[in-house]
Amino acid sequence: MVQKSATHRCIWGGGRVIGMTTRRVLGAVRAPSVAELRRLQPEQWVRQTVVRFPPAAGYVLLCLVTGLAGLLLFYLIAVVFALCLVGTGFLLLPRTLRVLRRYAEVHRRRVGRLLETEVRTPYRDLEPGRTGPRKPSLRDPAIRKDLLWLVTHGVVGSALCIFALSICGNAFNWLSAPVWWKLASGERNSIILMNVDSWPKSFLAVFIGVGYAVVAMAAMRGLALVHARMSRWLLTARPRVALAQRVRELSVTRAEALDAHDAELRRIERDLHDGAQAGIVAVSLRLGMIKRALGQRPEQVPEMVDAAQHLAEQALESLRHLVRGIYPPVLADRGLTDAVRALTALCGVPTRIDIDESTGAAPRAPAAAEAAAYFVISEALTNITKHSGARSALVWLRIASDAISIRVEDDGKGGATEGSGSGILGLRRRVAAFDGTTELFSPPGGPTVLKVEIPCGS
Amino acid sequence: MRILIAEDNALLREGLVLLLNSEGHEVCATVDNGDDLLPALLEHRPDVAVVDVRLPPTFRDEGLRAVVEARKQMPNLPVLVLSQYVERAYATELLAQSASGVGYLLKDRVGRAEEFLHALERVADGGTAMDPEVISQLMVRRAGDDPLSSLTQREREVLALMAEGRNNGTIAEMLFIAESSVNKHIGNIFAKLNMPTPDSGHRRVLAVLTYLRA
Repeated sequence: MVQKSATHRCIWGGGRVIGMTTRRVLGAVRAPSVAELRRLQPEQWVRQTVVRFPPAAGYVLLCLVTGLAGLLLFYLIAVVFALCLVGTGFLLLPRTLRVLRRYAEVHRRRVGRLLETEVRTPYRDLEPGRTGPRKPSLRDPAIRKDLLWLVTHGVVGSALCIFALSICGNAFNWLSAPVWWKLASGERNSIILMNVDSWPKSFLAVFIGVGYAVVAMAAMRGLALVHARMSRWLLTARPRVALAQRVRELSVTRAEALDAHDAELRRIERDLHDGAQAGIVAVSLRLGMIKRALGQRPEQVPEMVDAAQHLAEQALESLRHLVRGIYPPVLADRGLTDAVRALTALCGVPTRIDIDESTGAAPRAPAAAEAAAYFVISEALTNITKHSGARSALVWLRIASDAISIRVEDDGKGGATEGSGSGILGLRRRVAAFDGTTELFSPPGGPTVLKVEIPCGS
Repeated sequence: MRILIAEDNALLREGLVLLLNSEGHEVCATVDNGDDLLPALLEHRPDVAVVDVRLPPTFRDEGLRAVVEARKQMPNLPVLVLSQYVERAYATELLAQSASGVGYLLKDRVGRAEEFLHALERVADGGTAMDPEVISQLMVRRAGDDPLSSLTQREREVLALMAEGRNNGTIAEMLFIAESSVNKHIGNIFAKLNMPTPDSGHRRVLAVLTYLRA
């Protein structure tokens, strides 16, 4: 069972359209530019072209199929529109638009894979924190843009694919011409412009065929990129829309951050009230009794002093516990990696730890982000010990200059949800306060995987 | 005395039971949450109840609310309320019904065993025991008002100690003045506050508190 986190995540604009600061948050990785490709050595260029040919060719070939299917879908939508005139279309419209959206989402993933970036668009009805039915509507600019994409993709995608097919076909025809000459003994290959009926003509045909093949190899990626860039442009919202969505999203996370902060303040107040403060009052009470006993029952005094001291130690212990909950001293002293090591060592379930230290000492993230990461892991390990029934667990941690990435896995019975008092909701809010993401995968029967990313740095 | 204790913190509850038992009092019942408090008060009808303001389940002011409710049904039930914070609103609510047999102390005061026990006895006898913190908060609230602002600094001090439930002799000792001066100050206070000169210490405090909660 995949948690609802997908709706939290999939909803903002493509990296390109949004400013520098949000680009990192949006996780966009830019494909190498033409200028960068030109700097490559020739043999590297050849290798890259060959390596990239199959995915590019696959992409372009699929464009014909999906483009034609898209035109069919567009026709269907047009029929539903027409039905709206007589009323029945209104019943079918949301369902049809949902199909359109799903179709567009599939292509966002395809385009994203090719461009090595994330292509997202904000659908109004999928905004986080939105209540009511999640129904796509034509009033949503994202849906309207999807429609535009559907038509464009149908026409341009099919045309590009046919063009690519013709180049490949030409290469095949020229290359195979000598074979036809030899096998079919002089039968004219009518597709190519030359009658191959001698060895010199065969060499020329093969030469031209190789030329076509090279052009096909080199052009395929170009064609794919042209189509993908066009699709990305059509499949992502305009910057204004994406930013408006981002603002709404930040408002939601800010409200959640305030809630988390509020809950944290209450917890600290409660802990102080019930722990240290009550403990010190109890010590004071005992001291008062000791003072009275000194005159009346001096023989009881040593025992009472012991009790008072015990109470004082308990109060200190509770203070120590509280401080650890606010900002673990081990974080301040040793940093996140060592703190996490200490956590896993204390975990009730044998836990392996995977921290990348190839780059030497991990960079220090801001204290608040480190603390959040620490509590995420701590909470996850507590859950594993308490609820999962796991025999082993793994903590995977990467600290980069721009984000802390965490993955905690166990081989337990799974089925973890946000509502089962597992603290995952609080954890998600804590992470959301940093504009981070939380994903929980916990199918019944396990295994459970918790992925958290906490952005840090500027 | 038969005493009922309502306190959710086990350390403090046990400490109080120990202290009171060792002083020869009988702790007839202990309660650790707000829901059980009112039934327990009505059932045991203790000579005095020691109640923490903040109790489970909500950890807000259920102790106080139970006490207010109990005193509606048993107007003379003496109650000493303990709290880790002084909250003016709590004191006002507590005093809203009647100021007899009411105490409101910071928990810190239980360390001064002797004073605490005295306060408890005073409350059990229908008197009052107000924490100096409570008084000063109530006084601050009233500082802008006419009658109190006409008091001198010394008269304020005397009034505050009176409100805590001290008698004239103690007030004189605490302020290092003669008892006759205290009498004079008190006379002035009541003159300024337009109150008839009271005859007993208890009624005097009632008058002060009645004024303070007005």
